[in-house]
Amino acid sequence: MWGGRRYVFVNICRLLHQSAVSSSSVKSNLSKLRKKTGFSFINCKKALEKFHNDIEKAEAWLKEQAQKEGWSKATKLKDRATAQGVIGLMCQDHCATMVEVNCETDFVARNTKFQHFVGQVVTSAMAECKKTHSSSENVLKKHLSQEDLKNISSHDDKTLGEHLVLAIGQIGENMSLRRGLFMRTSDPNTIGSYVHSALTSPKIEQSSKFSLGKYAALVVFRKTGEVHSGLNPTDLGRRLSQHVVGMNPLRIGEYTPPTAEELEAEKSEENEETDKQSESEEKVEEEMLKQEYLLDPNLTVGDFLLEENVEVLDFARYECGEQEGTT
Amino acid sequence: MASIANLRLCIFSAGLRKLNFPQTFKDVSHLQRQTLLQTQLCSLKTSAAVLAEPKGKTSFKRTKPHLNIGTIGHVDHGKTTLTAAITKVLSEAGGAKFHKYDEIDKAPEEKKRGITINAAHVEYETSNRHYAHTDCPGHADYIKNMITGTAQMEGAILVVAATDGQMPQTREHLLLAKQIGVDKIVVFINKADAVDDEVLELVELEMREVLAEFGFDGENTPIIIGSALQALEGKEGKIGIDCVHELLGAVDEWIPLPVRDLDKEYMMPIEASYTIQGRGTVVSGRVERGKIKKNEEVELVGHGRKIKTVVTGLEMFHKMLEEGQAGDQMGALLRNVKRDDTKRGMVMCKPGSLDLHNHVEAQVYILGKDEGGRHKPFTSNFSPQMYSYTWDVAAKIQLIGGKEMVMPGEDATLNLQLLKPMVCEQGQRFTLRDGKITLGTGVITKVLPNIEEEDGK
Repeated sequence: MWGGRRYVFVNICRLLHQSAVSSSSVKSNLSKLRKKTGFSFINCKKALEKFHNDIEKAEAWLKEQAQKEGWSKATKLKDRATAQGVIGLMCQDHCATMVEVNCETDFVARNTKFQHFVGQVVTSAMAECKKTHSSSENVLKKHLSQEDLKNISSHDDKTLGEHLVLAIGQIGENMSLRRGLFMRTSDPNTIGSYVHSALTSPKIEQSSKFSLGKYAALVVFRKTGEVHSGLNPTDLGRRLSQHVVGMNPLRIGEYTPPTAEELEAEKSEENEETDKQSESEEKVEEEMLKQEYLLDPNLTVGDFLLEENVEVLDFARYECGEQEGTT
Repeated sequence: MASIANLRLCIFSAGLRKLNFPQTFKDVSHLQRQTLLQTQLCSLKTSAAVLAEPKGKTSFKRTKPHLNIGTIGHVDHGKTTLTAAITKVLSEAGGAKFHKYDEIDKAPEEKKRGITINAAHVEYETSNRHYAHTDCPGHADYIKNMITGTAQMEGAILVVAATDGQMPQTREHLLLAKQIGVDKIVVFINKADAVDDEVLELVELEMREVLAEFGFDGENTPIIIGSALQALEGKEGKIGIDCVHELLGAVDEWIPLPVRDLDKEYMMPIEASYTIQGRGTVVSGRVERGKIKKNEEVELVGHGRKIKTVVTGLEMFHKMLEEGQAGDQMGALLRNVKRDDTKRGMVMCKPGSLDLHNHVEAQVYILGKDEGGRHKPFTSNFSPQMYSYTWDVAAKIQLIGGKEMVMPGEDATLNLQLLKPMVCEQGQRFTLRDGKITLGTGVITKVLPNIEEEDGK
């Protein structure tokens, strides 16, 4: 409500300012319409000509046209590669949703309009999935395809597909709702999340419950006893997810506590210094529990979990623009 | 005397030996240095007046001042067409080689200092200046360009289509320009043939507003109106070929030349030092910037020390040198300095012009896996080796701005705490290495107050 009023107020100020600058009424109307709607100059002009310089009718028509314009733009751009983009993540009482929305350039990925759109996608997907997947399974993991995402309806009854088209029309770059993931679990399990980001503008983050970034991860885990370090579940989940983002494990794997021999071998390895180190670094460990823990390289994740009395049940990781099949 | 001459080879190879990758710092100015070197040699020859006439060599022509610029703008607004049009129009005057649209659009990705950058480079010259023109598809590529310094942009042409006006992402384009240190922009309003004068006027008005909003000079920034496509097709007229001339005229005039290395204060990183029997200590290196003459006072700064002395002799290529200039590989004989006092990694400079620092803020690009970097991220307190000029020292990383880790292939702003105070200044480039791996490369953006060492040394 307040936002709306303020918006109108700002616009009135702009209108006053504008009319002082330009003399001809056609021109000033064109400028007004452009400022108010943000549609391209050429379309604003077309609209004004169509309605004989009646700014209100022109505006209404432009809004109607936006969907159509968007479609034609989307069709025109549909073959262009979308390698950049943003991952949106939302985590709420035992449910979590992750989506990837792609665009053509990282300029657009940094744009607030685009980021708002991604926020809308993740919020709508979350709401929809919460309704449809109310099962009480231990861990529910539902992948959403492009089509699934497009058909989800947003709070204003338009589908996300229609919103996508509007965004393409406005920003002028091809975009796609690449993939989504919904996870649900129940007590005593917890979902932890982490978003690695260089993109999010603080303005968006504060006013909403989702976060945006280039990488994101979810980890479902369960306490098996007292948490040794006194970390609360949110922090613990965050650290585990950060590890998943950073070290990119492919599966959980099995934890085998190091035998006495191995410990011995490790010690001697340490003494032998760098040569061995670089050799072992070439081999990238893919099992999460055997990886060295990101925040404390002296431990493996398995060691850490044992210490904290925590069991990891499942995890998921999205990297923006990654090749399919690596997750 | 003769022993100084023997050092020539060492001096020469020192620069190459330093690291495994080629030194492509400031690629372009390297060219200038080469030419400077030539003039230097010529003047040396004439002053000595004893050498044989050079045979079959082309005489050195003073080149026009050089500037790096680039285009930024929305993907569909005609950046590439404009770039092609510029080369087309200038090629007719002999100032460029014509590059077709496709050649620019599909420029292969290149590796500069091991970093993959997607960028198209073309060069051309107007009657006043020589330009290197860069066009990148994304924000990250411009940032990499800036950090590695391969084509430090000194100005930019912002392309906007008259049909659309500014786009939502125009804001991001202007933010980028600010971030990579571009202060002066020339705006080209493209596709002017598709709209009428009223719209053009409004687009211009709107551009001036948004420029001012981002701290550019909205009022005076030149805005050129035309059609890159018509210019490329060779159509005469105001929005055809003429608009390209007008645009380049505006670029020539509006974007200032950077201060030449030669006009800056004298500075030479020391690559090696030697004792010459009966004469004293000689330090050698390549003059980074400025000029130096015999009997001038200098200061040696680095490794936590500062020593004031006087240059008592200069030499290059076996010959006595009257004046050392930016780009010269030379040796300097110092008064009353012991060899043990000098060390590779120190910098010889004008007294008081440079200082020792152990804490800096920097913008870095961390190499991705495919670029030979690490496969895992790092967090604060990670401590790689930092290489800059001829020095290297361990530096502890502190991430800033709420960032918790840096992934391979990302750029980041961070603080570096050096184990020993070294010569650091804003704009200085460096490389970070960890063991055998090159971790990334960066540029110092701010010198922070020194951190007192804990053990009170």
